[in-house]
Amino acid sequence: MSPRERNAWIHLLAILVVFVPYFHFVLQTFMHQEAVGRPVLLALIVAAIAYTLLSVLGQAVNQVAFGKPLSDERDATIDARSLRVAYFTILSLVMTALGIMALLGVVQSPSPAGLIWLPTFSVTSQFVFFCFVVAEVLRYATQIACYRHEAFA
Amino acid sequence: MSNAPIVNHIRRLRFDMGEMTQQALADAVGVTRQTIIAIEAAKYAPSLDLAFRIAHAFGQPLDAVFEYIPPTARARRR
Repeated sequence: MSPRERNAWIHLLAILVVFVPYFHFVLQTFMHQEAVGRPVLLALIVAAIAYTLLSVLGQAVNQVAFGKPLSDERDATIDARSLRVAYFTILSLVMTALGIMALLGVVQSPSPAGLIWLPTFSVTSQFVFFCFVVAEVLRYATQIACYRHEAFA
Repeated sequence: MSNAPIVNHIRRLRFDMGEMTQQALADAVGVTRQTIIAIEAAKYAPSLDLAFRIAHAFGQPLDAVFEYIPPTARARRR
């Protein structure tokens, strides 16, 4: 396994370990509480710190055990491909969300023109953050797939 | 038989050069060993710059290292 692939695994696992419980907590908080601002904000801070610590620690261990990873043109090609996937993922999710909001606005509005349905700031911000996390997961998963299967021309 | 339009003779040339290791070739051209492995297996097409560096490392012209197979010849090989 190349050092860069190991780095991708470290980032991917850190994201899953930290943000799956985080979003589970956020979902439970939104469903069962009215005052969601402070708990969610605290959870976000804890998650950000935990992810930073895990990924930095993992990369430090990787570097100490296996040496500093050299980056060459193939690594740059894989990076570019994974960033393309992440970009299109986040674009698709946000456009889908906007479409759903517009559709709900049409369905719920009394006027024929309809209005876009605007969820609360908390819901919107958490959804945007969720899109970003999903994009990052796909970014590192794409890198791993490319390294594992050499799946590019 | 691979359908890739470009085949390479890197593995044979490494052995002809006194059994040069993949790591030694990677160090000589400034890439990782994994990239050399991918190029040898025709899983990655190197840039022109890297292809020339590999040929230079072997002291061979470019077309002695990388061979272009036209589509008709590829179909006949299959």
